[in-house]
Amino acid sequence: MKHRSNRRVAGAIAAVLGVALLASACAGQPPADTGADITNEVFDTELTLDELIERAQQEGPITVYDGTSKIEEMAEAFSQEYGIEATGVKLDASEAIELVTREAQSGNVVGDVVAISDLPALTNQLVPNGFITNYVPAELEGNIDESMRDPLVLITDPAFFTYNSETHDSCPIDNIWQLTGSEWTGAFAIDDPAGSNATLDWFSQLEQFGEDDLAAAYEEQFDEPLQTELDSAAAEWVSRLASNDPIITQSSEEASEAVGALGQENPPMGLMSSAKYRNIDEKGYALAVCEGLEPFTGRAAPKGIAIATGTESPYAAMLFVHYALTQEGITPQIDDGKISSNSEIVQPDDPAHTADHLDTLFFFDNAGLDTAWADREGWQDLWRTSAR
Amino acid sequence: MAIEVERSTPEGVEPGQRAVRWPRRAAIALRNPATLLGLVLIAFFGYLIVAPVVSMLLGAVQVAFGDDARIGAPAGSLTSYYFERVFASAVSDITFYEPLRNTLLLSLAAIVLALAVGVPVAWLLSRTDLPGRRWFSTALIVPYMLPAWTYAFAWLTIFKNRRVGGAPGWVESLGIAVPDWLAYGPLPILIIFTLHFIPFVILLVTNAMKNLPDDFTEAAQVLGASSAVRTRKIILPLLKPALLSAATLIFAKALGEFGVAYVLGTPAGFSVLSTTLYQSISTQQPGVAAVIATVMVVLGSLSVYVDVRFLREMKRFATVSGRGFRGRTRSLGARRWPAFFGVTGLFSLSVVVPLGVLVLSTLMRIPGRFEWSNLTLDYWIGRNLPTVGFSDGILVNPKTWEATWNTVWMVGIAAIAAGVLGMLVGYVVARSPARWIGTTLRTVTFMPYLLPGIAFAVAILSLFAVQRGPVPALYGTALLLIFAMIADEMPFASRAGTSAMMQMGRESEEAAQTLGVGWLQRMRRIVLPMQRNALASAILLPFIAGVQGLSLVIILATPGTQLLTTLSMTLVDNGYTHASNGVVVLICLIALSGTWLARRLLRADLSSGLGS
Repeated sequence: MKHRSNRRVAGAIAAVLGVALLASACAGQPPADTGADITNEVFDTELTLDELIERAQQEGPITVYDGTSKIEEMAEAFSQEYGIEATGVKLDASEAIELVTREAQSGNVVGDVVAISDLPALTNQLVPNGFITNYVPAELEGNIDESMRDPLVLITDPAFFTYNSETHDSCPIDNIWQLTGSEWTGAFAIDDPAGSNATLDWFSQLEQFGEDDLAAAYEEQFDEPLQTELDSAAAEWVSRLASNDPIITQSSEEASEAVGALGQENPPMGLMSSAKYRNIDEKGYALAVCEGLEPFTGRAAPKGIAIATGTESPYAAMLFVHYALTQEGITPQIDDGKISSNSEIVQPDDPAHTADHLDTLFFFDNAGLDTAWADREGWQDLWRTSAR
Repeated sequence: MAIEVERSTPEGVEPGQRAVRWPRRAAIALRNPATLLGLVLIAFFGYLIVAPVVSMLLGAVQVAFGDDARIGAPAGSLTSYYFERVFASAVSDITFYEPLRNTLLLSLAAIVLALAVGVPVAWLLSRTDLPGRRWFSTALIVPYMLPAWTYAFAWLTIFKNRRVGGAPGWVESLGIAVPDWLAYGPLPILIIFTLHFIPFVILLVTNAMKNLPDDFTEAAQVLGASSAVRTRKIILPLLKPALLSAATLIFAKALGEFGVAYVLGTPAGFSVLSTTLYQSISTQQPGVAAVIATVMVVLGSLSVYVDVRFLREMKRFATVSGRGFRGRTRSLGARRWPAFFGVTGLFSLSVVVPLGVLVLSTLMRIPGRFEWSNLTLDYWIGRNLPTVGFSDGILVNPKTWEATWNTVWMVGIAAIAAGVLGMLVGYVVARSPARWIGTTLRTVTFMPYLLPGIAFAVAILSLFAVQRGPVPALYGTALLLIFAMIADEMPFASRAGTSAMMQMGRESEEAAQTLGVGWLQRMRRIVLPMQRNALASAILLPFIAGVQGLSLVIILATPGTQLLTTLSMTLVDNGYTHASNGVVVLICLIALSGTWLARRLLRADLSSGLGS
């Protein structure tokens, strides 16, 4: 009987494997074949806006992926403006990357335009494989800083060090190194760095471009130059922050509640997106930007926009990119404090008063994308081992 | 490939039998419609389930796009990098071994607790004169209709302390300090898992209990066996398939459940496998994610193997015979009211409290402020609200109704298909003389349960994005989403189907066969009517799970097609938690009315006998 049952199990395993092998023959990762050559020329265009509109109106419908649900509103407005049917779909960066990859591989492109906050993945995964194409509208090129053209940045998304303005009249700290001290143990809310690309990339950007500022701030705080066994001042700050028992949140929404809810005796501080300052009105939270904080009051991370190379509606897609870089097109997003890469666009006032803090924000530098991508695991590991 | 066949009646396998050559044995097996049906089902699920799973798991040994520089090999080539990173790197202990230990302990504890509470309750509901048992048999399944994170949300609302800042928890606002071990970490997670999983036990065990014939226990009683002995020696063995089914489902569900463990575990530094999995998916490390998913698949397969091994014994106990009487109701006597209060307590804990917190949150302008002036119905029926993206109340917003309709028809179709397929799988498992077919089917249909939804969805997508042979490109159509839902819900359906079919004796069918009745006719006239009840739960479970499922929908829904789950996520994204909680209440209501309808239409009722 024993023998029989073994054979039966072997039979079942063999059957599963057989089916699996058959199946995987068609399900494995097929080679990238994207028809890049055919459509690439389309995007190197010298068309005027009117010509572009005319051609775009022959096409459609188009679908746009973006990490914010505001995209639904933008797509609707685009449809009304140009009469081209457009659908906005909210997708997280990791979902969007997966979709774009699989759609490109199969040649069945649904998302024609993609806005992705994970720029390192965009430049390291999607662009080299020809899945997406960078397109900068010629007319607007002059208004966009050169460092933001390849890949094209749609907006930068600011996140501020925030305090509870009910308990405190002004920011209780003036140097970010204070957050690593015992006074702020268990009292700083931040998106889970082990699960958030934006945070990990910020660490890398700090190391690459904020090193001197961080070291100077250290000296100002402790009256002595920084001595560290780690690679950089940024690594030292990250490591100390992680070991200071921070409040790990899944989203800026949670962080805004932790910091801003009323009636707290010792409210924590937190790093949160400018968009969450909406909650001052909507939920009665007491949130304020930590003005005067050294060396930065926050960070501004870029979100890129590009066109799926295999799109069937290249002109409509190009027109949408153009539209998203105009005042009218991007309004739903900049209303939340996000900053358009088109310098001609007037920054509306938002609940976080982002316009007032532009000089003190730490802006990501697109030159550091590849390093950020390569070092991601390293920063994740540093955070995890330090947090232990 | 080894093909093994045995006679359809398991008890009399003679030694000479095995000498028969396999072509002949295969020919005999093929004469049984169950074998043919099994082969068709294997082909179908092979494409729908195994192929996506394998393509995903291949990611564990293939260099992912973008990792070429880091690993030093071109994308797509073989690598052991991800395995090393998970099993043998500086962070392995933090990201793998400790979470693995936590996961195993937590799931086992949840199984034990859920069975300890669920089995007695199932008995009360199916075999006694417990007051209100009809009502309870529906009411106690509600926890399964609420997404698990609802419990985490309710728990935090009540117990959260200064550890995470924000508005004070209810207990805290009464001036009582809440210790960290009560607010976060393994204890609350275990309690929530238990409450959330008890419905599995109730659903599966009630069904089986109802079918327990009294002959055996009565005979034992006549022979002087005490009630404890009768329970241990007769009732529990007869219930084994149902208990094992429940345990396996709970194990796999606990393995994959991410939200609760993440929300309540993080503040206490308590992590499980799904936490690491989620972190690697959201930081673009598909290779690491695939390795962890592989571990989860292996663990899940082990539990299926255990299940299958035990179930093999069960062939001897066919209890649904289509003849004679089913179990009689036992009078509880003086214990009637204590039992009633116990069940009511369970109902309060697992339904009233979490649902109450949820509903209350949709009625308060500012969360957690208990003043009359803070209460409002605006989020339900108001117009021109300040929440710009969703300016009408939930009940008067066209978006809600569109999403509701999409949810109902899509999930409805998928659930019915899954339920029928599940019964067919069960039939094959119970009837096919070639047992490997049944084992293969059971293993294959269980797989989707072990995978993170998003990974499964992506894999399905790549499979159906282009036409392959006779299978058209379905990506971008509602049909693909329905197929994916069917695949995703097969674990429930095939479990329900198998445990029901295993209990069904073959006499009636064989009698019909002797009279020359064809197979289709037998299915229609004998098997399905006898299994009406089981079919109801085989449809119901997938329906309920599908209504609140999210990850598949995000990836596979046709752009612009809102379902209730995506709507609630959009609302969360906008920070409109109250509206989103309202949508969750709607989801629960739909699941409830689905339950009511299914019972109505299929005249299935868990609390009374088959014949009622």
